[in-house]
Amino acid sequence: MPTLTLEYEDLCSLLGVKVPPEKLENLLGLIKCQVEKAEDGSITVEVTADRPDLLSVEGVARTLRGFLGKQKAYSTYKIGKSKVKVKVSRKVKAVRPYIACAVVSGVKFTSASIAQLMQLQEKLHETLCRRRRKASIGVYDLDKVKPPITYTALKPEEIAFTPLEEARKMSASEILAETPKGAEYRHLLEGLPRYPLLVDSRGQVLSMPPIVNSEETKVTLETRNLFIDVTGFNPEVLEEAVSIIASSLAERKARIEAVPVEYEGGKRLWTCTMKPRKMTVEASAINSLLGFRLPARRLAEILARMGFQTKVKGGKLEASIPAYRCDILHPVDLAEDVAIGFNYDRIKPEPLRVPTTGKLLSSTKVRRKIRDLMAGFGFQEIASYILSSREFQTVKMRLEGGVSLVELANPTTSEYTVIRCWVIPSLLEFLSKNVHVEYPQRVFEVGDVVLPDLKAETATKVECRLAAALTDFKVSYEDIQAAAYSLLRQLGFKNWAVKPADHPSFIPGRAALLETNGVETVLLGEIHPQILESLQLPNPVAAMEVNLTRLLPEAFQCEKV
Amino acid sequence: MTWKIEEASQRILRFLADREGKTSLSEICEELKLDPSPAMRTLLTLQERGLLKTSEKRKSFFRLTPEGEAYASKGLPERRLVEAVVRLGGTANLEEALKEASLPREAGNIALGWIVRKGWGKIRREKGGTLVEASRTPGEGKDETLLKLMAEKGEADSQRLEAQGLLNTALELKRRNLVEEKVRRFRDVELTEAGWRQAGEIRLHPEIRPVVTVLTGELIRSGKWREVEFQRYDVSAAPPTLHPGKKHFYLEFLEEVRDILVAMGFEEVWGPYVETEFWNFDVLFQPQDHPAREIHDSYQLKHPRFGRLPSRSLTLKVGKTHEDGWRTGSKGWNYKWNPEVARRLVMRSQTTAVSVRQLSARQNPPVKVFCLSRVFRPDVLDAKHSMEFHQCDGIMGDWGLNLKHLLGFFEEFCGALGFKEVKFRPGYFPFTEPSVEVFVKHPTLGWVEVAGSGVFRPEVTLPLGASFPVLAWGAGIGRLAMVKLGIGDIRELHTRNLELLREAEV
Repeated sequence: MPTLTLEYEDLCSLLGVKVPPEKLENLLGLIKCQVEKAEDGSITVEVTADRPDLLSVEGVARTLRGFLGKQKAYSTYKIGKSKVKVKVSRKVKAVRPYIACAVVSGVKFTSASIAQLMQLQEKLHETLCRRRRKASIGVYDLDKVKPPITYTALKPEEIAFTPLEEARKMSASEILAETPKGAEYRHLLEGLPRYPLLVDSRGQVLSMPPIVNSEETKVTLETRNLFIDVTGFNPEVLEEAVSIIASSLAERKARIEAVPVEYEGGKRLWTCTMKPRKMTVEASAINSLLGFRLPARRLAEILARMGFQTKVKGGKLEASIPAYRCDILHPVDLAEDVAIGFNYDRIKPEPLRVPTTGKLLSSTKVRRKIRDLMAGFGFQEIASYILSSREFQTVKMRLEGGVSLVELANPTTSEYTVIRCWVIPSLLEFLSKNVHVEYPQRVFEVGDVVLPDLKAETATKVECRLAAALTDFKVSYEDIQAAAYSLLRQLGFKNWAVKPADHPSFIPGRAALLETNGVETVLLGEIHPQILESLQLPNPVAAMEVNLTRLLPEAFQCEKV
Repeated sequence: MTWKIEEASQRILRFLADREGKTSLSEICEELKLDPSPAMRTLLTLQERGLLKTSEKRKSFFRLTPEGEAYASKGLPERRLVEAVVRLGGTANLEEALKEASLPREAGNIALGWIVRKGWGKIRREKGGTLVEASRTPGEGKDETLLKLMAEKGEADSQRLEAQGLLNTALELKRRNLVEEKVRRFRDVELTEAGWRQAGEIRLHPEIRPVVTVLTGELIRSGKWREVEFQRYDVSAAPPTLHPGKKHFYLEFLEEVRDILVAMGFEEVWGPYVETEFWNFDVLFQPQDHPAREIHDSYQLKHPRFGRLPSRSLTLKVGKTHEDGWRTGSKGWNYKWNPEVARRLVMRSQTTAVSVRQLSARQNPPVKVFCLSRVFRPDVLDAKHSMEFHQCDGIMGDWGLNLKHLLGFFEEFCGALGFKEVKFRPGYFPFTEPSVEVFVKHPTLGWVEVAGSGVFRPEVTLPLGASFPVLAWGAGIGRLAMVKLGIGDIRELHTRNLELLREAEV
């Protein structure tokens, strides 16, 4: 979830009231801004991912004012009509087809408010704009630009301008290669025949979306009038982004102007009109979802405080959704704002009275039984990760390295790249970390493995295994055999076939496979000294692995997709 | 407390009592037929217990030299010479007398000296030889008595000789080189008061019982256990440590959570670790460009790569819901949904995938199920992050359920886990609305977030055919375990430290 830093004094002045810091912390938590830390007059909050409109102190103040009842109803912004025109060339269609723009005039920046604007832009890029892939935002000093403005796309070699924070004119390829933002976002342009570009009537470049603005049109503390653009692929998202920025600036008394955008050979439309959407919801639907019994009028009041102008029509509510509220997809989203406006601390829990009979999975019961038995035999239970590495699962165990394993495409470390296909390696790894601990050591694990199974819905199958290992200055095949046989007897098996096993992980002639009901279910034996040597295990180890899914198929029937 | 003591000790104590409480090691060995070194060990043990005191003394002894031994049997040379003179008529030439006495010539001067000194006769030196005069056989001298005594006993101690007035005699014999003086160490033994009491007890129970260390089957079967004493142990000495076979502390915590949920009427369900994106994300109304679906936030699979989608009708409904809301009343996410993306396999990143699989299979309310299992996220393992951890997810679906019941459920569930104070904050999950974050009050950590929850969105339930409200929740159960068990490092839940597991409380 995105985090946001805001100044305590700044927030209070926007609220119009000084709220004590401890109280403020609690209040922020009630409107989806969880306070992470508060020190030196600066507060860091974690904002839930659905609310990009809360990614600036202005947006937080707007919401908090309503929550506190400081504002009677929804915020309204007067939207003017800008004379700045934007033309869109046909050439952008293939690279970054849409643009939404706004003009914001009468801005008076302070260092705090300009920092908030930069932060908002950055946080929107990270979230709503999906790291600039879906959309990217540019903000310019309008007085340094000569409209009309053209959104076009040029061949990279035709582009040259001075990017933000650079001292010289650079070519497009230089910008991508040499500037920090170029390095960060060049993957979004690389390979395209033309790069998007915003230029004014004199040919002055405003920006090369989604990479960087020009130095010449930079916003400073002295800037009074702003031009904002959002380019990208989804017109709805562009409108949301531009509305969020414009409305945040308007919270400090600036004026918003919609901008006409003319697509070459296509339609002409006004962007950043901030026209609210309408959504109708039954009051009873909200009440039954929340367990409330509030009259429609009361629900409308709460919604108004939360920023939605709401009309009551019989049992129905008609809410206006501000353009900056991009989280409202469905009437349930309005219901949540009713709950928030009502205050989560005031919602009274009710006992859950749904008469059902609880029960464990049959596999859980069997796992418990087997764990009890193994502990009873004197084995210590361990809990390993089921992620492992190919090297450990195969080569280290003297198996063919190329066997088919379930393998991660994006592992984070070389230690965890596959899902284990057997459990004995986990036990050996465990023992290798405890060579100096008092002997004898007996350990077991009841755990899962995952194997490729291309016929299955998830192309994999899960098997539950029991593995046990014991090590001491002297151990023998018989020691582990005793555990295996005793376990089988305790589970009600009367007889089983024993086949000598030729398995590379065990000493030749000291490994066996047991067959129960005609199926191979148990592998046991003395671990091969080469494995012990490579794991630096100083003492002999005997181990077994029991395929519980096969041994007790009925109990594990529930563990199938 | 009265110690039961072993046989040799009992005998020594009784012997001491018989000797008025005083004796010596040598006497004990002699009288009780014990070897000196085990006897000494027993004495020291008894001394440690305060039953007797021992002290070491030096004593001198006299015993005969070989010459002394010879004289003891044949008589001193002066006696033999005097007796020969008497036999020869009272006066005799020395030569003759020596012959008569069978004494060598060299013995003559010694014998003469002592005859004069003891006043047994007179010596006259005349021309032609020495004459010895003795009229009668003298009585036995002290030195002769002593010689006989020592010949009988082999030795005599100086203390006793002094008492008998023979010490000077002994020293005289020593000067004549007929006896030698030797110094020996002696250990005196004396009963203490406690020893007297103990000896008294032993007198009361005169039968001496053998002491055994091991109670054997033989002793039990033969009934001989009745005739023995058992060696007393130092019962306060530390024993070796036992390492029981034990279940894992963290897995046991998970079992406790399962039991709580079953007691609350939940049925446990299961789902696979490898999941299609369809169930892990799409059904949960997470758009296909959602950040959680990027490689930073979920593990994708290299092999195998794709799974199968469920029925065509369900797939279509889910896709349409993403695109324009289908018939759910939602405006949807407004993009082109791609079934190929939904087919991709991922490591399950949330157990909610299991909940929705179950919901799709259970169309008739009430539905109350939970799943406690592993989920996976591309994190590097450290104290706070893990690529693999446990989650516990559940759903509660029935007509008439609402947000308040969700809060009620948490009050009960957290209470059962030992948390009395619970608070709720608005949160966000793509698949629930309203959404609730759940915090519990920990005595030292303060408010700790333990679960996320909410009411499933219609965009989730309606495509699955569930038209009743479904409350859903998911708890980071590993985090909860850490809070409950006081563990600060997430890796400790899967520790590879055997000592820690052996010591862990279960």
